[in-house]
Amino acid sequence: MASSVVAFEILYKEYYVRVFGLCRRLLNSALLAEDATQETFMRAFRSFKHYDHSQPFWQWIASIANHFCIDLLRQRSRMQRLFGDEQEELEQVESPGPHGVTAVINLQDNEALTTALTQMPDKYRVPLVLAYFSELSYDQIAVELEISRNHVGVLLLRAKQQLRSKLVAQSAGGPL
Amino acid sequence: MNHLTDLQFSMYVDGALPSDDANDCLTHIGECSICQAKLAIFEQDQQVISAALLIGSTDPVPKMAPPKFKNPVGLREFAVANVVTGLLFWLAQFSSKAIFGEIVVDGFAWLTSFFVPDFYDLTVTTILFFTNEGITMIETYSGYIIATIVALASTWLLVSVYKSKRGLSFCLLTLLLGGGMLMPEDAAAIEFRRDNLIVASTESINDTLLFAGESIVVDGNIEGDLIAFGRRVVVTGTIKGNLIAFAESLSISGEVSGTTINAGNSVELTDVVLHGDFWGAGESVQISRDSRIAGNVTVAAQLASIQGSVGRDLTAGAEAVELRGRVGEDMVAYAKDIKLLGEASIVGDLTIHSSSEDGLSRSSASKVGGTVSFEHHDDQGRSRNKYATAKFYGFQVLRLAAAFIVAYGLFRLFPSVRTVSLNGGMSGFVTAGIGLVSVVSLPIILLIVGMTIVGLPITVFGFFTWLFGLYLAKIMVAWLIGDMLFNNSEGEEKVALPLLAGLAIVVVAINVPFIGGIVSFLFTVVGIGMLVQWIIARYSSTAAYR
Repeated sequence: MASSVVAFEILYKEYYVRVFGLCRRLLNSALLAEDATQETFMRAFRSFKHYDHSQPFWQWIASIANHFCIDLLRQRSRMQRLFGDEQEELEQVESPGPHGVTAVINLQDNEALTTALTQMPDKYRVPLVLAYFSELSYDQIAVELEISRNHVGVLLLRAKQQLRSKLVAQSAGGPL
Repeated sequence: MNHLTDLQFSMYVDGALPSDDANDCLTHIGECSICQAKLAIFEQDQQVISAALLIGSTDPVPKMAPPKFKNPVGLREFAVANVVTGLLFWLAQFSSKAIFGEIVVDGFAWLTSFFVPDFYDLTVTTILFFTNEGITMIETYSGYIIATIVALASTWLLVSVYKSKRGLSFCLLTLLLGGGMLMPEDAAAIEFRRDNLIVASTESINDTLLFAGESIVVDGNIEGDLIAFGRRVVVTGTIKGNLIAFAESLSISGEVSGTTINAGNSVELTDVVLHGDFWGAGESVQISRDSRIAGNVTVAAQLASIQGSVGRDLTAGAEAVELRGRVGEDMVAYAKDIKLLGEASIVGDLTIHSSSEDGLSRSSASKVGGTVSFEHHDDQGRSRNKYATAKFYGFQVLRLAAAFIVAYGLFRLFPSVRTVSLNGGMSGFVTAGIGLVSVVSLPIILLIVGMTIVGLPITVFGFFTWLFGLYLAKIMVAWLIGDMLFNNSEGEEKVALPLLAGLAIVVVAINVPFIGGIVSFLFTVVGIGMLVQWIIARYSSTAAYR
């Protein structure tokens, strides 16, 4: 029993920064992310005996962090329709400009992208983080957010478009 | 095929299109330079966003503060911890009683049913403690209290002069309260004594006498009421008012003009003359042959023996009722055995509430002026099985529903409460120990705080918090059980089912015959311990890594 505690403490040290990063991205608040990270590890420890060791640890703990953070966001928004309506989102899809994100920012200018990400609403930021940080498939995101697979696609498209327009505004020196 | 839509591009680069669609798209892109250009943009976007997310934010990562990882407890450990804690506690009570003649905590004497102390003895001891120690505490602290009030009021006065009239009026009120406390004690109209009391036959008290002491002997006259709490109360004098006495042993043989209310382990009325009604409760209540009671008599006892005369109605609820005297009007008895002995006489009707008519035995010389009637009560059925009544189950369902609503609301409002846990091994016992200490010590601390007038609101608030904590304790245990059963610790949204299952198990467990009380006690203790530990851990962990 004591050995499992030691093993878990090692995992904690190894994955702490990454889990914090995930929570930080999902919750958009460093303060909330600190709590969420601790809570994620506590929950992971309590169900550690059910962890399938053939599965990568990151996937497993990321799913716990995702659950917890999405729960928190739902509670914060106090509404179930956190991720809006698929059709409404589809209607708002804009045609992309002649250039993508790379044309707007320098690849090294990560800060501009980070700022733009933090300014995105939860409904766009969360699918984006789940897709590109947690590396979940559309199907997994759909299950996590309790929405349809197509809805995930639309939200991700909208997220990219919004990110692009924010960066364009930022590079032009205008309000984001 | 037409040009790809933005949604198709986005899903294509994310590898989320179904394979057929993806192949169609690939074919079209190979032939269409416009779509090729657009695809390049989407692919670049994807790479940049992924990189940006993975590289991280500009926020510094907080310093690592690993929480204390403890192995969660399983159902088996949980059950063992409960049983062992209960046994240890019972053993402590038992040994202490056997070796020192006293149990450890009187309040939990019911756990060790072999040594249940006498109810009246326990009550008298408690009352004596609060009357003696409580007043001493107030006297000790009164100077401090008054000084505090005056200091507070003065400060308030200074502040409120500059601020608002509302504050000023509050300050004046506080000063008035402080002044009120400085009033001389003699202003009280009630004479209050705390020593052993003897009112000699030649002595007369022209006032109401409120007395709490070990022994009370009243031979003289009391013009007002006598209100007495004591281990032994003997009244042979005359009471012009009412006599209210609560004692382990009560013996009245004087004269009382008003109503007499007596409760005690043994209540004896010998050659007494009561002009008003008599209310008596105790293990045995005996009214001697030459006693005369002008009013109604109501008795609740294990053994009620009435040999004197009762002017009006007699109502007796007892295991056994013996009547040898005279009842001026009707008699109603709730009893298993009713004996009309010697020349017992009832002028009016005799109504007996009993399970069978065999319980009545009458001497040949006894008389009942009116009718003798039986109201059948299925005592055996009632005592045999409360579980056979629909009311019982209705109540339990209500109880479960109420607990569910409270818990569900609580978990929704404070989701982190769901993380409450009972740790395994020795920590489980520590939790139970903390719970026990909290359950016992908090009311005592609150009482002591309440002795100071300043602390009274804290006591009231604390007391309700304590009561709410007691209620929540079993809910917490229910959640723990449900959580363990459904292996819900990964934090899914599923609250209702584990909670409902846990509550159902707890409700059933605390209603199990014979051991339900102990189970309920243990759950409460463990639940409180978990709550206290959770609160401490929450604050300490927050402090540790903030």
